Amino acid sequence: MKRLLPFAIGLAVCLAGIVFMGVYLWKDNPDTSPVQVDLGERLEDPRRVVDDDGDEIVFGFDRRLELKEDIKMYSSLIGYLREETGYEFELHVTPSDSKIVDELGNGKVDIAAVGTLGYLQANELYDADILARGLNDSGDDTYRAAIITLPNSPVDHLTDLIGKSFAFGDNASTQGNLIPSLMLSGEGISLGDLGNYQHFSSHSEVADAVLRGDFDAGSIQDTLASYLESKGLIKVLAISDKYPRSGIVVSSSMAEETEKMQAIRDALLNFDPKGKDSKGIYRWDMTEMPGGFASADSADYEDVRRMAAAFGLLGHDSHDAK
Amino acid sequence: MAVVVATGTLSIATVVPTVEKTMFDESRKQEASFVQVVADSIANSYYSGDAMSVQRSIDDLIASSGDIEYVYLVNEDGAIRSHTFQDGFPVNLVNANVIQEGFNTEEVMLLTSDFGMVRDVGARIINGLDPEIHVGFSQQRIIAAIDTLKSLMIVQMAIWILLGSAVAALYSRASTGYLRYLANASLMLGRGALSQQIEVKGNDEIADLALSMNKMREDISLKLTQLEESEESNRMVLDAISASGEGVVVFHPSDKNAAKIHYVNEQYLEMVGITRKALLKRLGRAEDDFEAMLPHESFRHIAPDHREMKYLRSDGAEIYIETTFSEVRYSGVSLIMCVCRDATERNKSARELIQRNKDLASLNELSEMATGAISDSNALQRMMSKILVVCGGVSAWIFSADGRTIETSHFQSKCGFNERMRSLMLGAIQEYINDEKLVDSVGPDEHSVSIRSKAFGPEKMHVAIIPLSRMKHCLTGMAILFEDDVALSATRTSLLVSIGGLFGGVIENVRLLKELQEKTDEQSRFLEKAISAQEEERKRISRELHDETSQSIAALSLGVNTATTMLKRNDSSAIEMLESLKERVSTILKELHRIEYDLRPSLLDDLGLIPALRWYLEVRAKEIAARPHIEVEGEAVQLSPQSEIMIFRIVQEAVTNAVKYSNAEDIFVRVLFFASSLSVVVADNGHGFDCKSTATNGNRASLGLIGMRERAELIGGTLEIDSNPELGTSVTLMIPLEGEHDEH
Repeated sequence: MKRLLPFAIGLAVCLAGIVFMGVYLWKDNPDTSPVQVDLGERLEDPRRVVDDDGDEIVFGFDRRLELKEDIKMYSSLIGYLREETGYEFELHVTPSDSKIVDELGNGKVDIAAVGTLGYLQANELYDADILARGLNDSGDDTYRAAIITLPNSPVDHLTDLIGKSFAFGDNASTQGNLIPSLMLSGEGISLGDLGNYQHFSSHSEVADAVLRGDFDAGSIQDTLASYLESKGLIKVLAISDKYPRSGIVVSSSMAEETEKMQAIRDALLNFDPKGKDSKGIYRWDMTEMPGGFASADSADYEDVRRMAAAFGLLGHDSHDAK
Repeated sequence: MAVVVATGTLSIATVVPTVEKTMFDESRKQEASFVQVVADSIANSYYSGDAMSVQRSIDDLIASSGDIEYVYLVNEDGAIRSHTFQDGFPVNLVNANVIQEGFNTEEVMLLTSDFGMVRDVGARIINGLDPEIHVGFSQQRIIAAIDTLKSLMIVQMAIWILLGSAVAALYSRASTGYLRYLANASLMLGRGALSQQIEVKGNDEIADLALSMNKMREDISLKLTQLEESEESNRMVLDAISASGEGVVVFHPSDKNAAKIHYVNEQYLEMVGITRKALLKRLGRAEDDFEAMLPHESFRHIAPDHREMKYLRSDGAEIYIETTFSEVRYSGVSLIMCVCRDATERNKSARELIQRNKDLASLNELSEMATGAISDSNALQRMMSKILVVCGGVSAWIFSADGRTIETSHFQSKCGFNERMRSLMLGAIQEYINDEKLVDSVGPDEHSVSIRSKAFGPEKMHVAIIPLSRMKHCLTGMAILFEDDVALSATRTSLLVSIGGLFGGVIENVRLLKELQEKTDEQSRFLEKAISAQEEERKRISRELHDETSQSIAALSLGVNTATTMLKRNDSSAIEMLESLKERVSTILKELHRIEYDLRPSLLDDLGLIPALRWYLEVRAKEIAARPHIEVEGEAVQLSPQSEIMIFRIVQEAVTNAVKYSNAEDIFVRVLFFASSLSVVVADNGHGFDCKSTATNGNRASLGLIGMRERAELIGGTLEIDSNPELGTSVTLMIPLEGEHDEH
């Protein structure tokens, strides 16, 4: 009997193990209980029933990088805003045939992350209001633009760009359009002196155009230019002076909802993408406001407004590309 | 083999589902990753509103992967704009897999009518936003693959089970047999069969076991041998110790104040006075205090230790035991080994030696005191006081006894004197005198010190009688009173003997000093007498020579002159004169001879004592017309010249006295030779004299008597004078002849 005892114990342990493993293996195994679905009946316009209370605050943005990257970044921001304010937000992607400035004016977008020129245009055209201004890593609320070319390009100075092709960013982009225009103008180069030029919808597209060799030079945000230069992909011809950074702009109708605005402003000003709020944020360092936000006032943009007006960038026509 | 089958079956039962689940999980992960990648790849197109591009992308997916059955996208409004189904979208698929709020992926297994088992994997195109992409992955291939794998595994497992069982059966048969052999070998080892080598087969772990067992066997054998040798050496050590006569006990101390005896030898049992049987009997009773059997105060000490202690044996004897005990280890147990030797005799000897030294010191002190005791009468008292201190006595008395009377002197006591003490001591002395034969012997010895004990109620007192000297039926001794039994011990008796000898010597010295003094005085007087006698003799001789011999010679001279004259005158009377002168010369010669003989008779030197005595007696007796009688009895022996002259002078004096004073008619001289003595008696039948007053009146007669006694003592003899007016006077001289024999 004594001899059988260890064997019996071992057998019992094995059986217990089997039972346990069986339970473990089969427990909640969806593979063991498939849902039977008859795919015979078809619909032309299938649609799910979706809860939509229609009270979301629509958040838009002007494109900077690759669209999905922009979407990921700003969806993480509205996630933060949702958490902080308690309001529901909806991220809106401006179609390629539309402008964020116009969407701020026509009510499709309530609040948007736009560049300086975009704000000036929205403010000029639709009385949009600046809510907060972005900060860089150093807490500076200004940014620069960079004119870039390929590393092995014979173009070494801005003056070498006469007769060359140039890729601008969006018409409403400060870094992509306004500032580089000022830089070229400062060298006595007007748009007519260029061989040809084109506006692209984002800094990434401008960079891609230059990297493909389609254009001799282009203008992008300084952060992207630094990144690409660090990888040895481009050569920076010139860096601009500092100009007020991009910010968060609200539509005129949204601006009237003071309680919401106050809550959103407070949340933006408390936003700490490098500290407490860094966890839920997607690659915020690649945005125009890597250091968070500071309060802003339209009076801060008077100088830029005059420059933009001088370049005729504030009217309706300023949206169009050449 | 059963184990192999069981484990094989169990393995199949556990491994197959595990593999199946793992494969499904892996497939699920890959599908989910694929969908994430697809979602990411179409995000730009989708959010750019490039529906065509999106459609192309999902169509390409279907075309490129045989396992994807369908793809569809759901926008933020819930509408399914892009999908890969032909002829519309299955209505039952719209809500088959809805990604929950707050989640970014979801999957569900569907059993579809068209595609069979399909896993619908949904993911948000961009996390956090509503639009979704769903991909339907066919599970047929995976299921088929899993089924194939399962079958393969089961078959292989079965084969391996069978093979394993067979190998197990064969190996088991081979190894168990060898294991059984090893098991038997270990049993034999346990029974002590250490000589048989264990056979080593193979080169595996069991062979290692066999090698280890062999090594173990050798080690055990060696250890056993060492243990036996150790046991033997232990026994030899114990035997050696026992052979030396020392007691050995080895015991195990415990915490309960009791010891367990591990070994005890006969010498020990004999020493402490207990038999082995009694010891074992006592060991059997746990409640006994074993310490009572062991001469140890405590045996929980560190070793080695050495101590001596007093022990009371069961027979009441008190012994001293010198003990050395130390801690030893035997068979891993800590034991105490105790080696005992009887130090009683040594202690006794030591004590006796100490006591002896004390006694010697005391005797030395007494000796020093004795040096002054001869001239200091108080020194004897001090000595007696010291003796009491030394020997522990209470009182001491010097006594002299001659068998009739007891005279005491020099009493000394520590505690005064009382009648009881006196009575006791006198009684003891009398008893001693009555018991002892008073023979001439010098000094006390162990046999003569006598202890007399007397009980006074609960007390018992003892009187020690120490003879100091014995001279001619007169005993001088010391009596010491003791109030305890200290006098009864042999050492005390020995001390008393020594004291007696010392004190006896002192007493003797005092007596001898007194005698010496008396003798010296007597010798002085004798010298005076001798000188006076010599002077008297010289006077007498001078007188005789002057009165008689000189006169005669003067007359002779005159006569010669006369004769000469006559001859010259041719006187015829010259011849008569010459004849007369010749007679006068003869008379003168006789007078001179008499004087000469008075001085020293030549007969004494030429013929010996008896002829000289005979001559003298006859010559002197004629003077008073007494009749001389001389008798010699016994075998005459030759005496020394000194003895002969002394005897002659004594007889001469006695005869002279008889001639001068006794008026006796007969004078007798008897010489009696005995075997060991000589008796010379000079007797007369005269009128005698008063011996006592004559001896002490200091005149010539007394000097003569004294001279006779002294002459007698000079040759070792004695002189007795007996005088009676009716019987006359007899002078008896007795001298021993041993010296005379030796001298001759």
